[in-house]
Amino acid sequence: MSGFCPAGTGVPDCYAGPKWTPNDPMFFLHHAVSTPSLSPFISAVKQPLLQMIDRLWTEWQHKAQQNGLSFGGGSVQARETFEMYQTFPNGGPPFLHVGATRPNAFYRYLPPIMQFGSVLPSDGLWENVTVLDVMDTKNEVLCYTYQ
Amino acid sequence: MMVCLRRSPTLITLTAFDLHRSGLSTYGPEPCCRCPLIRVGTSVIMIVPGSLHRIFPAMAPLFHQAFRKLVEEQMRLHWDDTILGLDPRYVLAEVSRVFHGSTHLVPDSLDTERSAMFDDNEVSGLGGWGDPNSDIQITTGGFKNVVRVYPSPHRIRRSYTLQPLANIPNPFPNDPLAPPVDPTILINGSFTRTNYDFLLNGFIGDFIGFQTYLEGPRVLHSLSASFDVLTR
Repeated sequence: MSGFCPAGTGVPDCYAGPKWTPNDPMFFLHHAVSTPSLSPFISAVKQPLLQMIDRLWTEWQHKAQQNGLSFGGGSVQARETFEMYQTFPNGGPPFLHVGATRPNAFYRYLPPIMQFGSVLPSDGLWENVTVLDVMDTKNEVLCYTYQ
Repeated sequence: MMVCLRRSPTLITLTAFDLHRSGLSTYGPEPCCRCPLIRVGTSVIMIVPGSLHRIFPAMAPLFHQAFRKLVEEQMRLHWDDTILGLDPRYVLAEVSRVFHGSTHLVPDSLDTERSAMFDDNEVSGLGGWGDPNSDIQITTGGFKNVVRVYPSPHRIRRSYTLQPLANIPNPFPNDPLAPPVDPTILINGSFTRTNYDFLLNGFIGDFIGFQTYLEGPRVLHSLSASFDVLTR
C-alpha cells in the first residue's frame, strides 16, 4: 500500500508515500485484523495465507525461543543510499534496544542515546511506553491475542 | 437448484453449475460427479452433479445470484455461530476443491481486483476501486461517505495496480550497488506460501533479518499479495 497526494491538495509539502495509508479502513485489515476461524474442510496447506503484517511478527516470535525477545534497530530511516540501507536495514542510530527501561533517576546519567532508545517517542499523544512494553501482545499495554 | 426449507439443518442442494457461476473464477475440467456435503453453520449444502448449465445456459446469471443470496442469507442467520470464518468464499473454495480435485481455484489473493471483499455492498463491501474521473475517490460500499482531512479533505481514495513497480521510482536511483528493479513484477505473486514459510521459520533469533525480509523496500510488506493496492 502506498499513497499519492489528493488532487488539488494545496499543501505544498505533500509528498507521495505510505504515511496516510491508514486513511483507508482497509489498512487495518491489512495490518491488524485476525481471521477468527477457517474452514475445517480446507486442508492446512490450502488455507488462505494470513497476511496481517503485525500478526506475522507475533507468529515469528513464537516459532523459536530465541525469537521472543529478539529486537534491534534504529530510530531513523537510513535509505539515502543502498549502502546505508544495507548497513542499517531497519533504521540507523540512535538505536532502540529491547532491554532498556523507562528513564529514571539512574538512566538520567547515561548518554542520551540510551534514554532515547528506551522509550518509543509519542509526542505526547499517549503515555510513553518502552520497546519492552510492546514486545508481547499480551503485555499490559497491548493486551490482545490472535486467534 | 433445489432448496429444502426445513428450519434446522437447512438442506441446500446445488448443482456444480451453480457453484461454477457463483462468483468465483475456476479453471480446470468439467466438474466430476461426487456429492460432497458442505456445512455452513447449521445448514448443510449438498452438491449434486448436474448439467443444468447445458440445458439452460441463459439462466446462468440467475443461478449465480440465487446461490449468492442463499449463502449470504445463511451467513446472516447464523452470524452468532462460530461459523463466522466460513466466508462464502471459503465454502466455494472447498466446493471447487472437491469438484476439481485440487488447486484449480483462483483465490482472491490472485484476483484481488474482483474480490467480493471490494464489492459495492454497503454492508460488506469496501467499495471497490475509485473513480478515475474523480481523483479515484470511492463512491460505493460501506465507507462511501467517509471523509478524511489529511493532508487535505477528501473521500477515501483507492486504486489497484498489478505492476506497481512500473510506476514507483527506484528507491536507489543511479546507485551501482543497488540491485536492478524489475518493473514487470506482478504484485500478487509475492506473498506465496514459500515466502511465508521462509519468513516465519527462518531468521531464528535474528530480528533485523526478519524485519528486513518483511519490511524492506519492494519486499513482502510493500508487495502484499492480497492488498496490492494503492490507497491514496
